[in-house]
Amino acid sequence: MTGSPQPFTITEAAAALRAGEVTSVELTEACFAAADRFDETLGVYIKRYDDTALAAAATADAELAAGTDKGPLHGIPIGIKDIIACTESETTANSVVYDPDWYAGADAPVISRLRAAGAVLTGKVTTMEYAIGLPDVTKPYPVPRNPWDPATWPGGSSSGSGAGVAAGMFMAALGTDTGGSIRIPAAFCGITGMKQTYGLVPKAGCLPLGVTLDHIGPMTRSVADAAAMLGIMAGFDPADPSMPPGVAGEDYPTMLTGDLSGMRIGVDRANHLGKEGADPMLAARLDESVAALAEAGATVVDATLPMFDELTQACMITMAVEAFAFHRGWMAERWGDYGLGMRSWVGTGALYTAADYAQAQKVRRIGAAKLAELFSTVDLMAMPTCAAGSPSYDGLDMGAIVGLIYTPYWNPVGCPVLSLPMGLGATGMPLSLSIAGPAFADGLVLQAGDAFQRLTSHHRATPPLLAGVGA
Amino acid sequence: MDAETTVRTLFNLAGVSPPEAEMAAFIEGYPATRASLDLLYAVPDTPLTDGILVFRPAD
Repeated sequence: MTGSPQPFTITEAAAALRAGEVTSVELTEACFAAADRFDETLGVYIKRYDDTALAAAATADAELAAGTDKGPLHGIPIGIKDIIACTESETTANSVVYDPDWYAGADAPVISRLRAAGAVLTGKVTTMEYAIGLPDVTKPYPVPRNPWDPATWPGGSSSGSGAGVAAGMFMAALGTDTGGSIRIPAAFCGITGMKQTYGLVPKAGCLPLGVTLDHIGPMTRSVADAAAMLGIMAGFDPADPSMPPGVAGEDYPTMLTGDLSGMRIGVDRANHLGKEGADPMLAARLDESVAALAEAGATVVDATLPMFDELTQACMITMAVEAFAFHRGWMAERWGDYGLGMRSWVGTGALYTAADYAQAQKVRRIGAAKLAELFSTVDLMAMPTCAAGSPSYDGLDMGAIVGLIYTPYWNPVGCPVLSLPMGLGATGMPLSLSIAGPAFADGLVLQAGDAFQRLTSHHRATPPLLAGVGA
Repeated sequence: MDAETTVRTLFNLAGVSPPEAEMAAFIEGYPATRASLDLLYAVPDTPLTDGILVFRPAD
């Protein structure tokens, strides 16, 4: 490095790369050095790609030096959740029950897009098994831990993606989100995560949890970084039949003006505050966040999301049934090879009838229509992502987690939602704001989130671990 | 049909055999599972009831 500090965001790194202040090799080496230092504690990596990553970084440096600029991800180190296929290694889903030939030697379309954009893939990182459940210490995979307090869970299921970004092991990561699996670890690890509109990013080459709920999305240190990634990831691919034909992304970075004048943002306190176990600081942090959105020019009003409990349940039922349909054959033969948390959750999919599943889909349709009515009165909605910060591993169970998260509401309706830090709670752990919009208003959501981050510094806070405290 | 019979029957139909300790947990949780479904069946019908899964014969 040429004496400058390590760039904190992709956006800063992209500028530093082009100014000759840093090289992609230096960025990548710094990320691997962080992994060398913290991974034994944090359990982020399943498989590191040191050699291929450093070779890709050297290529990026040579290309940039020769004047070939592939855009904002050129030379940027990125981690991959290990349910997404890439050529460097098999996709394990953090499970001993997997098909090593699935997508073997091939890239998922979203990986192809990152690679074509010059991104440096640093390796595969931990997930809850098949993107659901909790770590099982009897299985041969690392237990992911939160850089803000390694005694706590980093959230899931994109656990390694969240912990790794927060710990500087890569500058961004791919996560997936079926009921909150990007937004929850982003919230608990104090980073930014985006679940974009369903069908905007191809999810072919990603092992499914709930196929009608799944999303692959960016996990980053800033909204501007998420906008840069989404701009590259979005757009139609025929390999994903759930994508609307011809769907395309937008030039999201150019939409980040910092000005929310004319924008009307609803705030839902009714469904999100006053919950048992909530952080005592939650309401105050939400009020501060709303004030920042108003300072950026938005008109803020109270609003209540319709059918909150019903859509949350529709998500849970749909997820369990679709996941069980995928795993049924293996579960019949290898039940005990799955981790306890995963099999306990997915097994419930056997207990619903076909009529129950059909009713859940009907509720999704009705709920989406009611939500569209709400979005005819406000441009966006804001609310806490979770009721509290990262929970301790001591006594952790899925029931307690489900009681603390507000994320599943949004998957059955497919709307874009951004999760971003809004300060620390009473326990010193990050709390998170969610900003949601109508389908395909991803740019508007990013615009609001970026405006918020221009007026706040919560997203630049780093875990004490990085300063050596508690390391 | 009681919860135990229902849960055992549904797993049997699916060809999946959790060990007894886990089966007991599924049985214990089944009433809550059904209660969550009551919430969905209580949603008033609207003209928009054709489901979210759309079949297009040309696909």
